[in-house]
Amino acid sequence: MVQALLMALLALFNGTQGPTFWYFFREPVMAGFWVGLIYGDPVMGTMIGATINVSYLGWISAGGANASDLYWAGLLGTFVAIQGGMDIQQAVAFAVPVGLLGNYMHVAYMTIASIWPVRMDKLAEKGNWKGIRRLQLLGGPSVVVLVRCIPVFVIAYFGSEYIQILIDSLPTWAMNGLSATGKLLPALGMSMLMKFMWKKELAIFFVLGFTVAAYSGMTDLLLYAILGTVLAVVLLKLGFQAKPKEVE
Amino acid sequence: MEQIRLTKKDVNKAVGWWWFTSHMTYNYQRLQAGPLAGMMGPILNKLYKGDKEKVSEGLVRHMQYFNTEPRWGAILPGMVVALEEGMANDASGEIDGSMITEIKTALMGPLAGIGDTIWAGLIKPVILSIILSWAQEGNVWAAWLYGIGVTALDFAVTYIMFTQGYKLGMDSIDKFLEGGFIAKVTTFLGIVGLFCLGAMIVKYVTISAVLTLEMTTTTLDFGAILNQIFPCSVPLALTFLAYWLQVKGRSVTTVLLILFVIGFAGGAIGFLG
Repeated sequence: MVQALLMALLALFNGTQGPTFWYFFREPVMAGFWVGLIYGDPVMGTMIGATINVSYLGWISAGGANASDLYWAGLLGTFVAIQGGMDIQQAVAFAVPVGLLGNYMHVAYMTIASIWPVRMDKLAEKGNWKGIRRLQLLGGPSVVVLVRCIPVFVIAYFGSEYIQILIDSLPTWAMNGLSATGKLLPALGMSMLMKFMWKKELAIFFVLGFTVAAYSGMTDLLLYAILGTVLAVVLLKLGFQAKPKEVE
Repeated sequence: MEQIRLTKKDVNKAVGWWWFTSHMTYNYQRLQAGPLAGMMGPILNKLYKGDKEKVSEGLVRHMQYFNTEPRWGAILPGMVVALEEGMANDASGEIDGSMITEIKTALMGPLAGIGDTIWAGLIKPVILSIILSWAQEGNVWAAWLYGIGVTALDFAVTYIMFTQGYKLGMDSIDKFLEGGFIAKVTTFLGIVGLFCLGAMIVKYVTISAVLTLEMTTTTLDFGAILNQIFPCSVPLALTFLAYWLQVKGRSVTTVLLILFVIGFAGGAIGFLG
């Protein structure tokens, strides 16, 4: 009961919009930590959250469109994995349907919250700026309680015992399928990033990074960040410049 | 006409409000109109000394549709504060309300595009990918490093852009765009980003072909052969497939489902693992 309530509280922070909430509660690596803490294994939670997070590396929400629900993929994905005692790869695959479910909640949130500007218009006409500020602070979170906290509470409270039973009943081939999916899904995160970053005249640097990593097996990313920075600084000094990307 | 100027404290309060609440009640109908109107509330109240009618006029003006990138785009709300201050102190009527709205409408789109490319497309994923590789090894401090570090960075960028926008007022955006600054930044981040992305595929996409064929004399291990010819070719090919599907206009959700099916079927049959 206490754990389910804590999960509901976490769902509120996880779903509330704002920089502090995004980085401390929404990002799956942090969501995983909190879920792990609630269920007694923050280290495992962090590892699961981080692995789920990779699939969402290129996640972006432009104009309120939700590419896929980052919020619940981390929160409930970690929950299911910890409760069901799955290995990490399987947890990643499991986060997918959960994330899709969360997508509906995001749409519901954005739609229901659309009633608030109508109220704000009325307050604006009366010159009541304090009222607008109050509504701006409380309007969104109140919708989050409705569309995210309550469902998470129900899942955490009633779902725990069934998750274990469900997972135990899965045949080996299905577990193999889930494991393979978990290893493949980070490709989604990479492809989203690629869509953002890809520039023909810079593609050669992608080839370089991939080749070095694939053949040498060195995959410490800090190494590549430093090498890449050095490369970029030198080239810019030499006057190299890519054409500015068209912005919409 | 009596001049009422905003103090540094007023501007700082506006930045704080913008930073904390820019998405708090985000919605399909008006996106960031609420936070902007809320931000202007105390400022209008001070500039017009509590004149209800003037304050309300300003609030209605800023309740119009608004949406930009909250960090790099913070230059725009900064400018709006400066423009409103200018308008309140301007007897000649050179600045009027519709002009402020026009500037907002003209700039919010391009700034959102630039901001998203730099932040969500480059800076955040590169930081995140390094952090995640530490966190996957079970380092809880890495998760916190991300939370604290990126929050601080987010605030720093927002604060700098907002105050710059306020200071430079009208011509700030032109200076910003013409100086070739953006082109330099995106080239720099593009090189670092794509270089890292190549390595990230090797690190994170760990799927491989596991198909083996039992021959009479020997066992044919396709995965090992593939890796010998071209290491990590399966992750690379599947990442490009996902990329290509998105370029072809498939939604992320569709691509996600396609990958799910490929992975699940491949794993269940025993091709992938």
